[in-house]
Amino acid sequence: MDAIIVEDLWKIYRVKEHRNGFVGGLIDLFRPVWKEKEAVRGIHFTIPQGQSVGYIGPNGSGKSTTIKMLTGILTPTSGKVRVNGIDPSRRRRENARQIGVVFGQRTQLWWDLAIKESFELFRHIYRIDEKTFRKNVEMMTELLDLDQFASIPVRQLSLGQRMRAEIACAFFHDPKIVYLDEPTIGLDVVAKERIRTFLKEINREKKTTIILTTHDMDDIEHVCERLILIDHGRIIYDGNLQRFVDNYGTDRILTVQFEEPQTSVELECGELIGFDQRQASIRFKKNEISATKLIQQLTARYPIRDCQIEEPKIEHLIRHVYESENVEDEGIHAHDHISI
Amino acid sequence: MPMITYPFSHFAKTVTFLARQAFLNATVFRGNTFFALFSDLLFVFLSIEVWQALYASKETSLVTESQLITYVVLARLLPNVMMEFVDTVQQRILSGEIASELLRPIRFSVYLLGLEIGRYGHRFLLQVLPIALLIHGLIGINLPTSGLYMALFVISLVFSFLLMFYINYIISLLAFWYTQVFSINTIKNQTVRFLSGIYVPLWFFPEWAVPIVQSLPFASIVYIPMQIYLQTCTLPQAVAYLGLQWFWTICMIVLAHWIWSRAVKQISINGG
Ligand SMILES: Nc1ncnc2c1ncn2[C@@H]1O[C@H](COP(=O)(O)OP(=O)(O)OP(=O)(O)O)[C@@H](O)[C@H]1O
Ligand SMILES: [Mg+2]
Repeated sequence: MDAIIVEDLWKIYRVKEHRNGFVGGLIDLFRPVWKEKEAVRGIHFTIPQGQSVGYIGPNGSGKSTTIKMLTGILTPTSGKVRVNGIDPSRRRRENARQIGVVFGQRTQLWWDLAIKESFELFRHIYRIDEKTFRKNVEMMTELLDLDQFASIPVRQLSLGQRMRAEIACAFFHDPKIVYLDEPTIGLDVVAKERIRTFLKEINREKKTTIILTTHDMDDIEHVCERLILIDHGRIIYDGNLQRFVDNYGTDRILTVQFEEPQTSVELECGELIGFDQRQASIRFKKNEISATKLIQQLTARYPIRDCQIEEPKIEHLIRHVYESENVEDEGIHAHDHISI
Repeated sequence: MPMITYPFSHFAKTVTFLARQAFLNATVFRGNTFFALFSDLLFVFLSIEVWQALYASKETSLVTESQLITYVVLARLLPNVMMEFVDTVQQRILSGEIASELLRPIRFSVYLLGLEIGRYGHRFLLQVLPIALLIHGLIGINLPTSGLYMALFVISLVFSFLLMFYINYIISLLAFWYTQVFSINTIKNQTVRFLSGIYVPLWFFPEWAVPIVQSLPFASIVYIPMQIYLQTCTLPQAVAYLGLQWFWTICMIVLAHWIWSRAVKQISINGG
């Protein structure tokens, strides 16, 4: 079953344009000029129950706007959104009962309560039975290591502690879908790692649908099976993460060190991109020649001491996609070019 | 938007939980409680002094001295004019954080009400009662002689609390449209204190103003409960008073929901 269906979804913000000076300010009061900002421009996707999706794009590309429309905070300008069969912006509170939300930039926790008390409140609101309740408390506490701060009021927590608390509360009532908008922003490596492991674990175990936006590609690589790329409010790639890497990440770089200095390097295959007598870097496409074959060819001619193969980072691949997209699409938004 | 219906018992459980939690949290801040207790005590004593002097200088047939003193003491202690949540809500509106409330499975007002009930309970037990008892021991204040009046007074106090809560809630939501929250709060506090009869009992208002002020929602917060407490009205009058309080409470609830839905519309179109 599809958890989320999005069809031709648009969000156009209307922003007041300010005139200059005092007189301008006065005129603004009576006849404001509205400027339209197209944040999301006709996107489509469907997400089946249990999938983990990385929703990626440069700053200002429309990720948060999309997430807000999926959660029901924002009403779309046009288009269709269905989350578990309901329109979230029309039946907001009903939708809220079935989802969990984490916004890295602001808190979703009850400010006046400690995490333990929030759990307890969820138990009342969602009528969670005693057994499930105990099990969930135990699981969250262990996976996110909440023990040391579970009874401290939320306003006193550090950022990393608060994020773990946010995540615990977003998953606590066994929601079918959880949206995470930059959940790892500002966290240290250990905290990030813990959160990734948790997300992966819970996606596998509880079959929770996860929609994750982040600027850290390691998050995506660890957690997500599907990748949706958005740029300037349009989806420019949607597909399996592994396939994305396979298709776009065909380039490899082989670096070899020679036993003794060479004056030149002759290649049957691949392209020489760096050479300095003792060392050479060769770019090749892995579907044209295998690494072993290339190394064999080289060792047949030169004494090789060491070699190393680099795979491209997802980050680079994505940037590549944006760049090629921007060239094609230049006419439309050359005026507000944004880079990742 | 269709309501999610769930049984009242369930709703009551949620509110009770929140109230209990807020009560417990309030006990943590001991220094605060102590300070509030002290300043309340000081103001109560000052008011007693002032009103005793005034009463001595100008005989009135409207009330007895002991009724006046009782009124002055309880009018100071009972109402919670400035509720704690107002500041927080205003800050969250100004910072945009308020959008989070749209994703909660319970109504924002219900959540705040639950917490405020707990805080009021704490205040009642640890501030109102001790001070009232102390004053009673020192000077003596009137106690209701009729159980029936007492019961009506308790109901009237519940309405008074709800009214004060919804007025505070409405004021805090105004931050969506008026960002000068400090002046809004000051105007609210002064209006309530004056028109409810905390500063000056309605007995001493000019005669023409009394019927008007009495029928405004503010009088329902202090003056009306105190009339019932002091038994200065007949039973049918007391019941009519409760009807008036009920009317204003319903009005405030309707108004609050309307304002909240306007606010939600604004967030959901302009972005949270
Ligand atoms: N409330 C708003 N009113 C007007 N314009 C807005 C509003 N919120 C966002 N925008 C604009 O819409 C566009 C998309 O913003 P959005 O927050 O969705 O981007 P994002 O992909 O989440 O970016 P980031 O990676 O920086 O979080 C931006 O150009 C932004 O300036
Ligand atoms: Mg964003």
